[in-house]
Amino acid sequence: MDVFGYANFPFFSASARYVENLGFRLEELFFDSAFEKIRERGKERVLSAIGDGIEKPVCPNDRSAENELLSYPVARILVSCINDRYLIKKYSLAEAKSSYEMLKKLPDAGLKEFADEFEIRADIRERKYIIDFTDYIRHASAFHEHEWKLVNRRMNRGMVYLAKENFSRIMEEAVRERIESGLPLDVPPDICSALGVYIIKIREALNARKSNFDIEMAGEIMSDCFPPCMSYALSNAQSGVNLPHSMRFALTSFLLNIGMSAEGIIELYKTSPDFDEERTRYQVMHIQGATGTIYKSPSCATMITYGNCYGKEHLCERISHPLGYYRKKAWILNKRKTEPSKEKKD
Amino acid sequence: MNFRTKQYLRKRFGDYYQNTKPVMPPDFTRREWGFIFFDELPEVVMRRHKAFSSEGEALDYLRGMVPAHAYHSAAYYRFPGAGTMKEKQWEGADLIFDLDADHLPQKARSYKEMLDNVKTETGKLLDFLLEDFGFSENNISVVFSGGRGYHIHVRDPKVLALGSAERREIVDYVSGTGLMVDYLIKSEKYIVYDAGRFKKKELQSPRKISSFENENEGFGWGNRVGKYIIHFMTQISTKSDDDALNELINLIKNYNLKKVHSEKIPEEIVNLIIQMKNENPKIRYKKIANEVGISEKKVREVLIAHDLENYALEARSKLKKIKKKATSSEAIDMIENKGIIDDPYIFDAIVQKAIDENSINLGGGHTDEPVTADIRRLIRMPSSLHGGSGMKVVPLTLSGFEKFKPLDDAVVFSEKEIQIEVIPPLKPQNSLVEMKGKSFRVQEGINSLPEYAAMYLMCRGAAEYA
Repeated sequence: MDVFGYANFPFFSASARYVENLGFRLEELFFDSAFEKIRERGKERVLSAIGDGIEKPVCPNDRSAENELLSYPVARILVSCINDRYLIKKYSLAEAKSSYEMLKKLPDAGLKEFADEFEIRADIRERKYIIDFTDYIRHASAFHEHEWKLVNRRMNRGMVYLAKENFSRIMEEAVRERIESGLPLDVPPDICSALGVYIIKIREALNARKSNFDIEMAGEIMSDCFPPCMSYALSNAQSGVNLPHSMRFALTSFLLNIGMSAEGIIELYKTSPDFDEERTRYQVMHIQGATGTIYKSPSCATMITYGNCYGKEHLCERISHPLGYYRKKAWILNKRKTEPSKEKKD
Repeated sequence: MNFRTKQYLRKRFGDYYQNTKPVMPPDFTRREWGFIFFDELPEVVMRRHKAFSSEGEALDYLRGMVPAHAYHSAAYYRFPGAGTMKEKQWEGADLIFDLDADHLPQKARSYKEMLDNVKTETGKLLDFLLEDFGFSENNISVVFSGGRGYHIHVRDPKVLALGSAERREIVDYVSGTGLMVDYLIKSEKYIVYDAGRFKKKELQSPRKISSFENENEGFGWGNRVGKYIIHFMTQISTKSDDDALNELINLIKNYNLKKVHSEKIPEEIVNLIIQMKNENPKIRYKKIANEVGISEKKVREVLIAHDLENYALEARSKLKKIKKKATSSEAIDMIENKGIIDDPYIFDAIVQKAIDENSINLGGGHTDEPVTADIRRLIRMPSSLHGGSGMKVVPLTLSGFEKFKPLDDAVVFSEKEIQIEVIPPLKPQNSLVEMKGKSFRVQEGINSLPEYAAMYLMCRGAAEYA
């Protein structure tokens, strides 16, 4: 891979080595006025990640490719200075998506190189894209469409047969995971303050974006926003039907995650036929994080596996997590309230 | 379980641990251990967060403490003895499958039959692990649980780091959860040999099992479904017409029932539909639909849900076609070697049945979680004793598994006759003990039995030491 390749795939370990070998101190990138253009491009990367997505420019020469490559560490530093969960996710996804566009154009040898970079055991021959099943599920278990379930794939002797688009999509996910897990970086404060002007701009854009949907999860409990599985479990619990352990865990963690108090939850379970206050209190406290692990409520995929997905409805198609349903529904209801004139289909 | 019984069991378990050297699991120093002791039984109190740094230490513990049940984690930890999961620092876990007779749909009449059923299920799972997942025999260990089933430990290095969500994908694969026929079988235009009046005939929508596309023979789920279809065709063709017809009717009925989503249709409309159908069994959907004002599709669903559909006609015509195909070696060859299924005679109900028959039942439905997805679960220690049966938890190689007879090979205690008191109420499943090729019928009150059978009943809580 050459410098143009590195500009396209700046997250490759070879790309990082190339930057190291350029022979200047990294601080210059943040303080020297000669690099202002690169810093601008770094800011643009993050802003477009918040917006419509990152577009890779066509680089006419080595120099411009180098600049494009250098804007990547700048963008990562900017994201790290802001250190916001949502921004990190959004940025990682945008970088991954833009590399997918480049990936699609790669010849098979390039795809193989890509797979090697991410330690994905792949065998590409005669337009067949075959990868080891552990590598497949490592990345594909994040997707929740039916076609991505391992059971709906062709697998023989531990190898999964994929079409080229699917193979590329797995690579995209590998990119996203690598970028996201590498953030935030530990950035010295003086670098962050040197980048202050850019950070202000990004914060503004981020806040504008968030105010569009942000629902304070610790706020009031909106029972009309519960996903059908949780409504079902809740009404069962309240009418004295004994819930299976996995469902009780799901409901408890869900309620805790949306900000209900432990006391409130214990109250809920009082009608349960085998109610034991001390035991219930212990369990609720445990899920709440008394032992140091804070449990997040199970995803839709988990709910399905454990046979706890009930009453799937239209909105469920658009989310992969009961909490996502809750957030989205709250957003929809809120929007209806604030924009009563606009009729919009959800 | 009274004090004397506990004392006796503990003494004899102690003798076992003195005289045998239990096999330690690989990398045992990085595992967490847990034990349940006789003292607290029947209360189940798990003493966990134990760690052993040497084999001698573990052995001393087993011999000194003599637990009723011994477990170790499937997981490897940096600090296995730490008190919380967070502090332990998880570093990977074996891939575990728990095959328990309780998870099986068929209900057994005896312990022996139950163990036979679960052994068959274990064999099916092993086929998935070897063929589909490609694990090598060296990385698979099958263990008789000492109770109602088998555990499989997979220790291929590449699976150790898999997280819970990823393991769930493996569970879903072998249990057929989320398997969609649309991905399994693809519509395709193809010329199919037909043994009728014309030698060859191009069908509009014959279907092809998708795993036959890559290599020249099918594999995985596709292969299983293809094989089942052939099996189904052949077996139904050998039956009498009445039996075959009934089987098909039931198949279609159950398939339709499963597919119906009981949507909210007002009760009075449902009642009206039922009434109309009862008054005139030959009434058309359209007529009912017009009358009650819902779609024909919904009318059909209501009729299916209330078992008012008549499938005889459909079943009869399918059966005729199936029989014709089952006798054609060309048609069989098409399925077996090319994965090509001719639509009109192989219908979705058979494919669904093929999926159900080949799925592994691993629990995780509504009652408990699938063990495989739990990366911190403790699993019974191979070569320890099961305190609920007095039998040995037997580690097996794959060839050993085939020959393994749990009720002979997992029995470790002596032939010496001892007396026990069977306590009322005696459950039917405890009234007959089949072990070592013998059967013992017991009654409430004092019974004299070989020690191994006596210990089995005491461990089950059905008898006390007399």
